[in-house]
Amino acid sequence: MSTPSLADQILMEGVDDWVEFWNIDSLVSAQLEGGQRTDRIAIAVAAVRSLLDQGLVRMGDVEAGVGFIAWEGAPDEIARRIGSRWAALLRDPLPGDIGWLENTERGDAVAKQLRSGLGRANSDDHT
Amino acid sequence: MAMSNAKCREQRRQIQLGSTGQRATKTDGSRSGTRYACNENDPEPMKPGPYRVRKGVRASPCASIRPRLIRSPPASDPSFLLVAMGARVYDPYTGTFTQPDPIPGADANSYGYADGDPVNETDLTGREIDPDLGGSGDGDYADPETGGGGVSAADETTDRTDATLRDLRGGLNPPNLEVDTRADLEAVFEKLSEGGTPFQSGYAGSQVQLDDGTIVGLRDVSRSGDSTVDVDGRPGGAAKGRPNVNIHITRR
Repeated sequence: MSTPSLADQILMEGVDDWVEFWNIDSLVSAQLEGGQRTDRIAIAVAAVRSLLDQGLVRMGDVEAGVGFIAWEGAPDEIARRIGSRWAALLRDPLPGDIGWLENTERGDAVAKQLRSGLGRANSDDHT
Repeated sequence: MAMSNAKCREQRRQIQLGSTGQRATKTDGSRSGTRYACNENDPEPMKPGPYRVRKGVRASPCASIRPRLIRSPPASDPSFLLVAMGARVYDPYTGTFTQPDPIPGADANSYGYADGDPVNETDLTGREIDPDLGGSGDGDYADPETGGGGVSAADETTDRTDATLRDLRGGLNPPNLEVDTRADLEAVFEKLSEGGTPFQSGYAGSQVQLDDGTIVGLRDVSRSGDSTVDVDGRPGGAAKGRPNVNIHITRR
């Protein structure tokens, strides 16, 4: 069974909850088996950019007592903001850093398809 | 447009000699390691000194940790400059870091540089005073990545955290985990955060850092509306083998 792409992993993670960049960094690190920080940022931002372009996720902030507040702006502008916030940290992102991703309805639908496909592939592997 | 070589040499000579006419030297007799760039837009010659870094970056006395210039000075403000120093960004104008110390309680002022004593101490990593580079030893902290003082306690914490996580049910999206109720989630958070120190960040909830570096947070909000526990094992390095984990309340 092939490993799902980073974008697919982010989307599937987003079914359960908003996805933070410490999670995404962890997924990229697992794929690259570590890797340079700048490479991880570039790969993560490219994956998020593709999801934004396809309208599968929204980017925003999460505030206690309020919830998710989506950012305004075109995908390329949002991707640039993510990259610059991440680079400015000068360390790996921690919970609460940079911002959050929320699946759109379409994103949830695609993620659920991916999950069921993954489930089928896993059960095929075991038979 | 760059200034002529002769004018540049003259400016450098003035900088090196200073107002006393003596060549700038360190207390050990060596010459200043500050590097300068010459530019016609400079309103006045630059002066060496720990708080007067303007157009260049002071050469690091430690070869393995090199502060680097992270922002070029805009033309409107030639003195504007920040320096990436290990884990944090240092602002030479205010003499402080722009982010709090990642080691909670390491300094009375969490934005302060080298315990407020830049003459006798250095902090090139942004995390601890460097005893080999002039630190007195007072207020030095063990680096959780390199160990030193309390490694066994950190290992115990890692083992305890791993054991707690192993007892939980796997979620739909591995390695995330699930519990049934909010009470269960709070009990898990209490167990995971035992002995931790409060950790401040932009997190929407309560966070603690354990002595192996793991950060555990109880987030008040999530997409489902329920609380969630986030376990980030990377910062300290001790729990590096553990993936980051979210613990959700199962949605029925």
